[in-house]
Amino acid sequence: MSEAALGSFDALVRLHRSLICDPDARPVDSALRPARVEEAEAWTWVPTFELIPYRCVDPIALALALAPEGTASFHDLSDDRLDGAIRHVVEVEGPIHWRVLAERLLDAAGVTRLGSRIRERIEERVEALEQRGDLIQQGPFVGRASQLRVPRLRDWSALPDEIRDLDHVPDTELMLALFRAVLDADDAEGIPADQAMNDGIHRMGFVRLTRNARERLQAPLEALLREGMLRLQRGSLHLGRDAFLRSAESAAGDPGPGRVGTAASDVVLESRPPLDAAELRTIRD
Amino acid sequence: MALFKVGEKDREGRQKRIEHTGPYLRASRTGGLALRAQGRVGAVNLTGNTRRGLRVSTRLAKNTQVAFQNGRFILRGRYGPDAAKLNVSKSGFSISTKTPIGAVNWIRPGSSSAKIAGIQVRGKNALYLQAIYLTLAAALTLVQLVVTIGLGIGQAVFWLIGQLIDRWRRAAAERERLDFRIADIAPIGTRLLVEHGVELEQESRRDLLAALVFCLVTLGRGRTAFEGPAAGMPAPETASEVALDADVRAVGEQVARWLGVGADRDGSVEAVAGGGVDGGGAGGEADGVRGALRVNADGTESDGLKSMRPEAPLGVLYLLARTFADKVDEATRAETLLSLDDACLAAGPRTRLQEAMLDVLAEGLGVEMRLEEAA
Repeated sequence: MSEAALGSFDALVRLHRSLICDPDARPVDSALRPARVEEAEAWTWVPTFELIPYRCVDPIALALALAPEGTASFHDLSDDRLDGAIRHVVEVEGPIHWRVLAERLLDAAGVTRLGSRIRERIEERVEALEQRGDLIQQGPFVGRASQLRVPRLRDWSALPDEIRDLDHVPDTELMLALFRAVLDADDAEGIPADQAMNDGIHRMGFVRLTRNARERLQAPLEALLREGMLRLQRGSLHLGRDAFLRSAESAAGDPGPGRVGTAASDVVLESRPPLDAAELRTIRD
Repeated sequence: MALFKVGEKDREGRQKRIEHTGPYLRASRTGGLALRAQGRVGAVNLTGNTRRGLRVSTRLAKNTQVAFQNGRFILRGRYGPDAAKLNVSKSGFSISTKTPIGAVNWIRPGSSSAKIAGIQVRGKNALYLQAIYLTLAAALTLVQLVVTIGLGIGQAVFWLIGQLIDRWRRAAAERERLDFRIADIAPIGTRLLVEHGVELEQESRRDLLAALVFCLVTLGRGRTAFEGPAAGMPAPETASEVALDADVRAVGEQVARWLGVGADRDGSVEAVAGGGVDGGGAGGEADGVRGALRVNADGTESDGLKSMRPEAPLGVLYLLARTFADKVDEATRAETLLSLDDACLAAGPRTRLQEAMLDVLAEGLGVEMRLEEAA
């Protein structure tokens, strides 16, 4: 559909798109979209496109300090205190990389070195919380179900270098960054993959598209292409036909666990059929 | 140079006087054959002519000439515009008017001139020719004036008739218009939503817009299942088009369920028995949605809701619009109204139900709009 003419849907399509790109804060959305209620406690797909600052947890709020209570070591912390601290860190920063989570806990407890016993203790508590249904682990990331389902685009620029690492950014967030870069580009002309990567991570506060960064972004980009969120045409990335569809209405009729914003995205992405070799070559070149 | 200047044009584009003028020879119908020579001494012109004798002349001022011809003093002056030229001579003055064929002297008619087809005449003959010419010219001007006035009157009458027809059409459309009061339809919509446990405030703006689209382009044309082509929407190609298509389909199923209607195989509507809706408002001549679906422009009628009264979809539409309006800014409300109006025309002229829906939509959105016939 081209220029708006009398008797056309063009203006409506534009208006609808603007509402998609500026979604409501937290609509329950149960009457008009009942199919999605069962599968999501929050907005299922199309997260906010707004860039929000990365919020760090306050170490004091974790109440793990050892000295005031006379606790000698990290291992003396009770399970309840540790569980509460883990839940709080995940609530504020989730989905969070396991290493960053451990860093937050050690920092709050005043411990400087992550030894193997401490590591095992944290892993044990995270698994316990997962079994209770409080948390979900996806690869190296820990988060609440809704956090893993609904990606957020965060500004990481204020974080220290050891934390501001693309390996610490969940795939869903990187997918959202790449998607946002393509969304901002001209629909007709598209955007080269390298440019999308650069724009995407730059918006998040990663200033240089290094070789490692490029490699890190390959999987999220391929996932977006597989999901139909993006499409590759003559070397440029464009929005895919299904880019704005919510999971309940994906082309296959299946909510699609691999879609951005759905529960088990990262896990299932591995099992998806690989992209065409020529497509992969185009992206990597 | 052409023979006797035949075919040569003067400044006014008329045939030049038929004559021969060479460096030393002049031959004309009235002047006969004459040898002549001309010279200049300072500011004085000297002319010798075998028929006219010797002439000494000079320019006294602009448009003023003095001369001696064979000892006789001559004074000539011509001043002013072509319409009323002042001619001055030693014996007095006269007033003349230039015409396309010569000049008419009003004080000394015998000094008038005329030239037709290069034949120059003066005196009475010229006066007769001028009189004939002026009479014909006046007659032609009169005819032109009459024709111009006639055309003007014709255009005015035509415009007046057009205005009367337009006013009559508008009055007829106004009579046919479905007229519902918000106070009548809103409670019906509210009751339907309550029956289905719907709280529109919880819905996203994206879905509310899709629901409005469904009401206008699908229910408004007497259908309950959204089909792009039936609504005038081309096959979706881009991400935005696919999303709108999918959203309208999905929310349309819910809205149709609230209204208690289901789609048959071809997408046209069969009202579920009873429909769960009582028509409470003033329906005018519309005793059901069927009556409301007739389009004004071509008189065609689409399949439609067989028994449901239009108050139910209008009531739900009003509540959807009001909820949507609470969630968007003023510019978006106006844009929504205009874009929905535009979409209504995508499948042809609006139905009467669509026109009523647009009125209700404008009320719900809090936007004023005046409907005009599509070109």
